Amino acid sequence: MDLRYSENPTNDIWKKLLKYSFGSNVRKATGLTDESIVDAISGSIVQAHEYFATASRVTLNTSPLLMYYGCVNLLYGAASILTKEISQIKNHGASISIPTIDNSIGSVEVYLSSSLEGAFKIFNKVFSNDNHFPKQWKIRDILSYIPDLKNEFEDCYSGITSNCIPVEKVKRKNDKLDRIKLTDLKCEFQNITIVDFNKAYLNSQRTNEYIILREKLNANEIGVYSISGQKNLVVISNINGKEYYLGQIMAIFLGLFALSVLSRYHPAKWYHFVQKDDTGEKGLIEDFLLIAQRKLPNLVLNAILGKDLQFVYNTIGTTDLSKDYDPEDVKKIVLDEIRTGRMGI
Amino acid sequence: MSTILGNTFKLTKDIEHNPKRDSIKLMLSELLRSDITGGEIGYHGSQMYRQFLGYLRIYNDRDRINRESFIKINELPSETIDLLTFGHQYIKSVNSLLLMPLLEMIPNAYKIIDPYWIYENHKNKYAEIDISSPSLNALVESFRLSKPFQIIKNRLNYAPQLKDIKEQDIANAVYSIIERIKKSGLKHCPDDLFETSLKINNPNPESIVSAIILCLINIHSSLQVIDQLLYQAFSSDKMISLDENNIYNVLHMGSNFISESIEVCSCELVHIPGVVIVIDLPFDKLPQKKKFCMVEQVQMKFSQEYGNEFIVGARCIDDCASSYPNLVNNIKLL
Repeated sequence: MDLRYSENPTNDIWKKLLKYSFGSNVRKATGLTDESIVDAISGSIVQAHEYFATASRVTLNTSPLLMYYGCVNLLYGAASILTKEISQIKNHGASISIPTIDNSIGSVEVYLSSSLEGAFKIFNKVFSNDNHFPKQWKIRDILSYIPDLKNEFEDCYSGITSNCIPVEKVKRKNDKLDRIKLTDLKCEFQNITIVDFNKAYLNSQRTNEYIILREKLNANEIGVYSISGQKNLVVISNINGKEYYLGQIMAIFLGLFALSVLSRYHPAKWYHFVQKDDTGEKGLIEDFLLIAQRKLPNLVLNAILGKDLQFVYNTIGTTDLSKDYDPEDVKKIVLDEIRTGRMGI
Repeated sequence: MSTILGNTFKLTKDIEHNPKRDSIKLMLSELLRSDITGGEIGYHGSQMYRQFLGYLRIYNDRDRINRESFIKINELPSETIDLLTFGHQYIKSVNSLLLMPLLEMIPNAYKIIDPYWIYENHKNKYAEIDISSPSLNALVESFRLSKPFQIIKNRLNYAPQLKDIKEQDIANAVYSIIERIKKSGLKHCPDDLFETSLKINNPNPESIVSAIILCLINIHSSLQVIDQLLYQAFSSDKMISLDENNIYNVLHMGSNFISESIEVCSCELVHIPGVVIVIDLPFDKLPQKKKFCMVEQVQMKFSQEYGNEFIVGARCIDDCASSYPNLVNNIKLL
């Protein structure tokens, strides 16, 4: 993780993204010479910024739609930068279905189409490694993959667990470890399947307070970070006997898509929800939109730059004990000094 | 594979087919269970570098131990004692055959270089047995032709006084150096030994004797490794491997004029010092990733905050099965 101090992260992130609103920067980053492609990229980034900026100034009545437009423009521009070609997107690649019995926004179903020209499939190919998705997600499933929403999510949907598990990173003098508080787990850790767990970690250990995780040597780090810098492990969902999960960018894309369709094409339901909040989900949805505002541009910028930039005031979730010495350490240092004769004894 | 290490592994295959092997393996696993033995022989008998003799020594001294300490060593069935005795006699017999060339060259060092010499007394004298086999013959031959024996052979004429040195004096020289090597840990080496090593190829009598002493230490180290490998062939089916599936940190990788050594952190396996293991570090740029090593130090930490941690320090073993290979690497044959 590459930490960048920022007093206004959203502005700083957009400042970096808006570099691509200038053709010269796009040409420099991509090597593209075709002006129509360069203009398409620059135009998408500018439009994305304006949609995001506008969305932050309107109410929940229309903000999901503006956010989704901004999201599509941003992903379209970024995908073109990364693939150095214009993506031929013909449709959203998804649709929604509103259950008649359940009033909950979280129960609204999102269907993914198999169309290769759908935005979801095209963006997923660029921004995620996973090609296997169920045909149907619920909005609730999608939100469960946003680590920043974990607490609000679990408060809102009591009994349903978020698919993000917070991990505390502990740095010590000679090593580091990750650990999960047992109180953050709703069931036994052994019964949970974590995305790419065996590639990244040795077998876990359980103490009275924690699940202790040691990273394998040379392994790539897994997990996702919240805006505050808290690392989270992603749980694999079992839907109809098959295992799936959503990456951060695609979760935000699908969430915004579903909410935008709701607000645009189902105004009665959406207006009722915004005004009355019968289901108690309004706070969660508002949080999701705020997080998408802040996080999606950051994730897209990282994808373009191939870095892991985090714009924060301070990080949380890391306990740094690397400068702590216990008596055994001191004894070892003194013995080493004596052995090497550096102490003149 | 015609190296000492390769031939030792061939001999371990013989052991795996020995008719007593399965009974020995079962017996050793049961000795570690106090619910079966009703005592603590498993804990106190499984000691570094002693293999079967560790149990036999404790058992033979049980009356005194039971009388003078809180340790409880119960009577064991005669079948168990027979199997322990057979295992020890087997390894002891291998040692005797491997040291035979020394009997001709420095008879006063023949006995004391056997790793069991310091643990044996009147209560623990065991006869050798006939264990001849083509694998053993190959091992004996490769051992006889190994560099330490060649160095000793080529230098003996220049140090005739060596034959007059008392057995105990050679033992004192050899074991005091071994003790100091162990005390200095994996990363360091005694300063005077380093100085000796720098002058080791000088033609003066002191350097010649020093070279021979270092070779004896090297031979002793090879025997310790061979003994342990043979014991492990009796006691387990698979060698412990420290690799990407159980190492989370490499604290040290280095080499000095005694040996190459590695110190790693592992979180799930307990390794008893003296055990021979494989360390396979998942670093692509290493010239030789997989190394046979003898565990020399194990530090265990148990904590609710950080889980279980085992820091394992080990010396790498060379083709001559020595964990002190560099002691002789700089010595010229003459």
